[in-house]
Amino acid sequence: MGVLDLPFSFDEISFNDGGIQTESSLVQMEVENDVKPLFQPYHVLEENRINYDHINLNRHAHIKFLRVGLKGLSSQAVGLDASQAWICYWILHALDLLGATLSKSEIERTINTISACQNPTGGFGGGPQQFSHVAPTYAAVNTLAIIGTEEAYNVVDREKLYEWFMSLKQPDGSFQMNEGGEIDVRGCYCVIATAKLLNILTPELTKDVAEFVASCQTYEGGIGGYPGNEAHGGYTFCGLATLEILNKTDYIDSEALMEWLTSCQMKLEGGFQGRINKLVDGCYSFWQGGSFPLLEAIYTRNQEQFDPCGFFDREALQEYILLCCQNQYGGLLDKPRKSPDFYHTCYCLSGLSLAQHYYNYDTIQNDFKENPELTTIVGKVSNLIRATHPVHNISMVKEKRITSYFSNSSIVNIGSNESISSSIEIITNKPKEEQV
Amino acid sequence: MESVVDQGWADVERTYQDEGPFEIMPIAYSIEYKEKMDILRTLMKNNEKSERALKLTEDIIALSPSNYVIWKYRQEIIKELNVDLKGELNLFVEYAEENPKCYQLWHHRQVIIEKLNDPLDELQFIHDMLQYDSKNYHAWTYREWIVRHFNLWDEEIKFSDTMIKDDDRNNSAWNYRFFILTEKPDNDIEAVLKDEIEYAKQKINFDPTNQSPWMYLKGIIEKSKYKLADFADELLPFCENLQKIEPYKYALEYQLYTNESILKTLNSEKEQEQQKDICRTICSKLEECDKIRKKYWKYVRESY
Repeated sequence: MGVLDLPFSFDEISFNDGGIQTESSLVQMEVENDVKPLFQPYHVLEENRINYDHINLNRHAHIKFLRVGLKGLSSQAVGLDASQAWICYWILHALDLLGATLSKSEIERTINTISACQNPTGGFGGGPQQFSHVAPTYAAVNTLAIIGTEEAYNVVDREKLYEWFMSLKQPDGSFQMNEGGEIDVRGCYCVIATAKLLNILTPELTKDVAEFVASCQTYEGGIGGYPGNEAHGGYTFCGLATLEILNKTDYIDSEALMEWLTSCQMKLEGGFQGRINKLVDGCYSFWQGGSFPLLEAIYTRNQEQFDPCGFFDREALQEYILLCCQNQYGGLLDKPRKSPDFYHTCYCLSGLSLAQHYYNYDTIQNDFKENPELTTIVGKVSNLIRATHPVHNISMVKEKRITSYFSNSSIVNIGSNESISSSIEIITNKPKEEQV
Repeated sequence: MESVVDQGWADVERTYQDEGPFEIMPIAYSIEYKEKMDILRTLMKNNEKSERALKLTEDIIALSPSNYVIWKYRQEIIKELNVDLKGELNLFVEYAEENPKCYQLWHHRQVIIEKLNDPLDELQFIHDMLQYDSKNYHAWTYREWIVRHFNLWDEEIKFSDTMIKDDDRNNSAWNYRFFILTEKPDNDIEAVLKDEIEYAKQKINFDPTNQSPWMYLKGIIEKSKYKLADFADELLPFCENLQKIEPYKYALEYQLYTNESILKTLNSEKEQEQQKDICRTICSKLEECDKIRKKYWKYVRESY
């Protein structure tokens, strides 16, 4: 599969505006015109085609780009002052996927900075002394999980964090992003995914979350940010991953979701659009691509028969990321002509990882298992990067480590009639060596 | 060295950012930003709600508009001071042009309008914002909030039509139309269904390669008490007619969904088997003309 192997000229699979030009069709054609020359040399009909075994992930340049970020950001990054925890996560996760090892100093400094973002209330702010917000809290905990040491894990004050999460909970099951802040499906994912890693998921915290998420599924099949909003790749992943954690994927219409999701892969570009009739963007390689393992898990649990390699064209997605989203000096990007940044570097690589690795859902252990026999690599064999976890988007290894670390420290309700805040106690017992 | 911040702050101590002993990824803040933030931290610590604090938040927003901390503090100050709330809305306009996708800006506007308890001219304002980017997710979300909160449903179908006329591939406008028809209190979908089917058909005729009206057509019928099968007599020939010259994949998809819907109404095994054959044939055609989704269509075909 893949687009480069299709024995048609690219013009045949180009967007057809039916003679009717609108703003949408004009920008779509511009993108296709940027993509075609990047694909052409590798196309099967090209006379002196370059063997696509030569397609290369510019790993060293990307590692360098990310490492420069860790050293420090220029004054132009001031707009990201409230996104420092996010940048840490984007850079560290990308480095982890690329197989780079962090130095002792990088680890120590990251722990320092993430600790400085933590508030006495238990949540994390986007930077030091900034009040808590669920999005940077998710990013901070994922960053600590990527570091993966006991010292990193112990930065989190789980009891306080739990209380803070509960304070954001709304009557309809959703969560505010911060005190007085906006409400959408991102909030559900950030809270539930973080709580899952830290083993602080309780019935009170998860109450009605699935109902709220399900109410955001639209007539298109995808999930919007809030009931009534348009179906959108980012919110779809957030919603679906939340339901997967809660074991409540039966709350949505998975057939309709699959229909919509598969229709978001672009026929020429091979990457994904985030909404219908929008343009391809490298970051949706993860946000849309990431919903496939989750949906395939549902199909597996329902004992449906489907292609052993899943539902989307994994080669085509890799072609788009490798040929259209790499900056030659390092970093990955949205689409040709755009500049690289840490966000797109993180999510293009996360999407690449999902397209390379195939995950089977293990219905006995109720967990995702990588199936190495179905690994698919476009280009050089050395393009293979680490497998990312389809729910948490940290590497499989790091997800296992943190969940096993906290598996024995659970939150227990003492007496169901007492008030929520007083009924919660964290019991930490058994050293982790006892776990297998 | 002269400070970039004027003398009005001489009485305020500075609270420096404490990023820990040795931080990762330090930002090389400009002197101006750093100094203003150092002052702001002190004000926030002292819970100062004053004119000068309000002014300082504005200065910092100009430098870093997506900093949610500043916005939240500003909202707290506004709560206490007698601020001209309509003036607050101008602040939005100033930054929205460069930061149209900033969550904080839109949320701030919503907070202010909620406080004013008056929708003002917000619908016109959102329309103006959509002129810059007709698919701005925040703008559409905000419009849905305004319409719900102030019960302003009446003119909105017309508005969706205006936006669809501008660009019939604007899926946000289609979604909005669906929202208005299905979320409006006491809505009666069955009463408008015929007109809406006609509306979608007209847009499809105009451009059969446009996915949005196809999805809308299916969505609106399924939302009503009817099934796709109930409109098979009208819509199957419509799809076939369209394809006399070339195959359109969305028309094929629609034929498939309708035939699947018919399948569910059949009782005899023989009839079901014939109907499944029809579905499988359409899937095979889709496997041919929708290459990128080949695996999906194969799955659908084999599921019959």
